[in-house]
Amino acid sequence: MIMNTRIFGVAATIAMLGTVSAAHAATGNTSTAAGTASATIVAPIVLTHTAGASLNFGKFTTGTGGTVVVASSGTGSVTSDVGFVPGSATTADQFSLTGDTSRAFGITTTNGTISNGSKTMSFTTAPSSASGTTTTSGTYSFSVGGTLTVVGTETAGSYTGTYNATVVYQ
Amino acid sequence: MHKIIRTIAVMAACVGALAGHAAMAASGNTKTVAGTASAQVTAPMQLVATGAMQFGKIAQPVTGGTLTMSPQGTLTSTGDMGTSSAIAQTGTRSAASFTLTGAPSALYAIYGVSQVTISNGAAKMTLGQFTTNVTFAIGQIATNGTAAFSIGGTLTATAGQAVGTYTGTFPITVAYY
Repeated sequence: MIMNTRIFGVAATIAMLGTVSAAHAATGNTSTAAGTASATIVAPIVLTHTAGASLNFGKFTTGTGGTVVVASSGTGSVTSDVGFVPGSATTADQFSLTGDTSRAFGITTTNGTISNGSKTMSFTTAPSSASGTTTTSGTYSFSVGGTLTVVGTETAGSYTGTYNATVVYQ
Repeated sequence: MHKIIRTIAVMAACVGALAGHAAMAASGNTKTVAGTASAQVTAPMQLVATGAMQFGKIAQPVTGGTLTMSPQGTLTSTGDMGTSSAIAQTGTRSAASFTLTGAPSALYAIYGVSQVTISNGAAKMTLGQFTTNVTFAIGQIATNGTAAFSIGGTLTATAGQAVGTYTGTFPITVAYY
């Protein structure tokens, strides 16, 4: 067990000691040194979801199921029996952040589900990078893509949901 | 944690003036013997700050809190200073270190002040509750005449503490115990 001791924290103690030294002890009986202390407060990291942006898996037919993959660039693709319908458009989600200048940080995003009220589909997400460094002006932006799993039994409709993105200073 | 209030007993050496009478006897009536005298010169204490107390970088806290640096250099926190975004920062963190030289094997006591402020030039933070790794703040100088100890402390930031690099000093005094 480490036992630390609170230093006698009374200014009067020092004063008393000084008196003692002056009256009865030669110089050299005490010595004082100034320790230095430092701390740096940096701008907090603030993440903002770009208004109007979303991770959009587009418009598709399920067939017997498969996946819809949206790259962080926004490009969409399908696997197995899922098929985009004409006019479908996929988009990656967009975020921006402000914080300390030239500072490294990590990005994590959660999985999620989307629902039309009765049926749900689950998706995974992937940020354009797992980490980043803010610019010299303290800004950064990134996008989030994902993979939606289609089982083939979903009913037609518009599905919506949410997921979380988190940034942490490294 | 031990808090000790202590007084120092000082041995006041009283040196009586020796009023001698001049010998006024004739030669052969005098006799001289050798007395002995002794004194012990004790090495003066000299304390030197060798390492700064560094709290590193901290993201601006929303609601304020404290960061406590132990003498061993580990950091603990309270309040908003404890959130991962606030303390997950790179940068060197360390307790302050001091070395002293003095009389071999002598005991010494460490004294500090209750608190100081460190400043970025405009805003301030309080640094106090200094602690040391020397039990009861009483240490013993090694036989080679040196000793070393570390000092920790608690830094308090207020809500929305202004961005910047804060620096300051705190006095540490050692005295023969």
